[in-house]
Amino acid sequence: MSMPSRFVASEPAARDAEAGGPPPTASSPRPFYMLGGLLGGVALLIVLRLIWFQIDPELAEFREFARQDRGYMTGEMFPLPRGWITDRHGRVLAGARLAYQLDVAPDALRRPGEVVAVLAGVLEMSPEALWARLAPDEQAQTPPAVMLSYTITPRQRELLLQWWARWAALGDQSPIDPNRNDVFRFTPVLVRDYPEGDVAGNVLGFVTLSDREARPMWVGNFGVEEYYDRLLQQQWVTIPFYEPYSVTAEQVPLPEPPSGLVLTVDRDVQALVESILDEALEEYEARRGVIIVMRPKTGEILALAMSPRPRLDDYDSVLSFLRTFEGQGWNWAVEHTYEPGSVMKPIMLSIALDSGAIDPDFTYMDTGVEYPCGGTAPVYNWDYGAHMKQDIVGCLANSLNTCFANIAMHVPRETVRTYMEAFGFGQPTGVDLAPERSGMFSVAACSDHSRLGFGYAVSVTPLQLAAAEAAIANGGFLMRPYLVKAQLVNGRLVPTPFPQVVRRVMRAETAAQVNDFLARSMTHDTYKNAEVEGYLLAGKTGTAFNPRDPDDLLDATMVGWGPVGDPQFLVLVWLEDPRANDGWASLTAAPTFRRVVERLVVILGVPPQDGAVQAAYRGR
Amino acid sequence: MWPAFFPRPAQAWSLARRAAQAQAWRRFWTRQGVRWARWALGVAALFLVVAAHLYLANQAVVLWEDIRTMQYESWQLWWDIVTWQTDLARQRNAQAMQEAVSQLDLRWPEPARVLYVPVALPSHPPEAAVQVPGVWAPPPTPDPWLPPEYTISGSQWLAQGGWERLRQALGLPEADLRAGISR
Repeated sequence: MSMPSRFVASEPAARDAEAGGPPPTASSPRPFYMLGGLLGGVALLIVLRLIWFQIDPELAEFREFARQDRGYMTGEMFPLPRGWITDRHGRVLAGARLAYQLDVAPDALRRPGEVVAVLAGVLEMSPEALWARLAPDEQAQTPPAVMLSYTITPRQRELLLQWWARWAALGDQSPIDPNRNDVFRFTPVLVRDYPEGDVAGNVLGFVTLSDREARPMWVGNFGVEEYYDRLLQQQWVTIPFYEPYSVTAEQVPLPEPPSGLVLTVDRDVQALVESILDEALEEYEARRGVIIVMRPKTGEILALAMSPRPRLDDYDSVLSFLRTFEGQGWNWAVEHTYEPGSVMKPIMLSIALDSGAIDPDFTYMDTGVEYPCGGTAPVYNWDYGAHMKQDIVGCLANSLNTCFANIAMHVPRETVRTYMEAFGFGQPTGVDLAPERSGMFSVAACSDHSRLGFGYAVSVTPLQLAAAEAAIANGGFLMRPYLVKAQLVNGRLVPTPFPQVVRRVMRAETAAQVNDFLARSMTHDTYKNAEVEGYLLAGKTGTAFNPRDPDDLLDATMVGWGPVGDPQFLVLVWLEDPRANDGWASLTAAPTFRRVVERLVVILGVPPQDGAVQAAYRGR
Repeated sequence: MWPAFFPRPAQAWSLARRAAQAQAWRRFWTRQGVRWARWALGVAALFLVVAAHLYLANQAVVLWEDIRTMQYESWQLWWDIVTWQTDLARQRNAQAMQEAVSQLDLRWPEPARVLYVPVALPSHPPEAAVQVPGVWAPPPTPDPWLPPEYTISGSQWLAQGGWERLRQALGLPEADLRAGISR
């Protein structure tokens, strides 16, 4: 039986055995030596090439590139700017600008004095301050790097790089270590920039650099910057180090449009109102002031101006503003609360009419003094005069405190509280600005109850007051005021869920009656400073003296809207402590209101009303 | 019968062995040559593979470096664009526009001199105004978009002479149509 062929010796071996030749051996090692030598030679060449990379002066750029990457092994980081803020027409209110953070290595400076002199000239910084930061300190350990500024312009960077190259060429005579490549280190940073200067600074808020993050990060303070900080927050995009052989073009991230906000504010209206307010403060010698322009039907804020205000593009101006008005907030339209005075009379009139406490034919016999609460808290008129029998229009036109104290006492206290809460007093409006104060009111005491009728025992913010008066203008709806029209998220515009009706405050019929009374009272001589030719307006002034105020301050307010029946705008003017014209609102806030409305109707394109309608209205 | 000219297997084997023995002095060098040739072929193939790998890797790294450089440049350009957009906004800000207005000697229009021309655009129907009902309301404006027939209900149309128009359109005597409808 023959064996399977696979167990038989191979034919050449068998032949060798048969021929008596040498036994088969393993392959000769010589070819392995040759192969090893070949591969070893290649490896040696690669090693030599790597060594050459380290010393070739032409490859210094790549070495610097690698050195910069060393700290961030996961990838390279690029900054995206903080989200932009534009007005309603897309005009930039807060943008971004490329700057550099400059870090200097103090231990690389051989002669710090010379370097400090150059740095002071290029960076426009004080040499003493620079010396204090860069000079070697025997007591303390020298830090590896000192951050000098994060607002280095590209031009300043170019100048410093030129100086660096010049110094490096000096060799041993150089004031810096010519072999160090980290003497100056520039990191790109996108800083906030405000192309409109001081326009809408109080709406925007400002940003500061956070030191809590590993990378420079801007944090919003006040205004929409703080309210929408999460949305606007600056991003650092990490581009990972891909395997060079497997990367595809799609994997390489490119800059994306940032997030942002489109405000309801109209830049032209804002700038106009700010300039009018500045002039008013000067003319009436007021301490400060606020003007709000909003659309009463929607709560959309077209302008929210205040004066004085900081220039956001000048950080010293911001600091100076914060020091001057320390403790008084950033945006007084939402942070300052005060007793508004007679501008609250339309509110009390609405409450009394809507609750049925009085009817539209109400009349009042004014003897010059009213004694609510059993005579414990007498109420006098602003002129201490007696105006005899007056209807509602007369009470409004003459701004009779006695009449409105009487009207307030017609309404049960709990009803007043319910309506005041419905109008939004004592609670924040919910506007998208940070921070916002809520104000307060009281009907606890009888005297408070009566004084509410003419705007005391209540503290409001100007915006709160504007929102409440807008409810009268628009037919009885309390609208939530808002400042952001749309959000830009990943390059796409996302509309905000506005306008929002908070609640219906009163019946439409009541609102129409109050509009009618206010419009008729505006034809009175008291309001001639607020009249605008061709437009039927409704409104009320209020001059509030506050004897308890330690500074004996006075608040002049005027709120008005128009055209009555189809209101397109509501304007609120608040001036704090105007010294001219004895501070009367009818002589200070009312003319300011008129100046705003005269221009506003042109910008908003509100055509004048039919003259016959106005003439008929005046005749009633 | 075995062919005479064809060797038998045993003879053939013997012939082959003798031929091999006769050529034994050449056989060693032949085998060495074949062995060297095999090694040379292997080394050459290995060299080609290594060279191809190094070449391709080098190309990939060069391209990757180009990508990174271009990527950095694209970011730089993007930062420049952002900066320039802000600069452009600065050159067109409210103050600059106001200065331009002054230079051009433009004046603010007097409200009385502003002429408002009502324009009806089919693509922009007028916004429905929230009217304050009650004491005062603006006179109702005619709706320019619909002919009057479409602004009233069917019952109103019939009450406003619709019967007569319908009868005339159908060419029927008055009594017949009313009778037909009422049935």
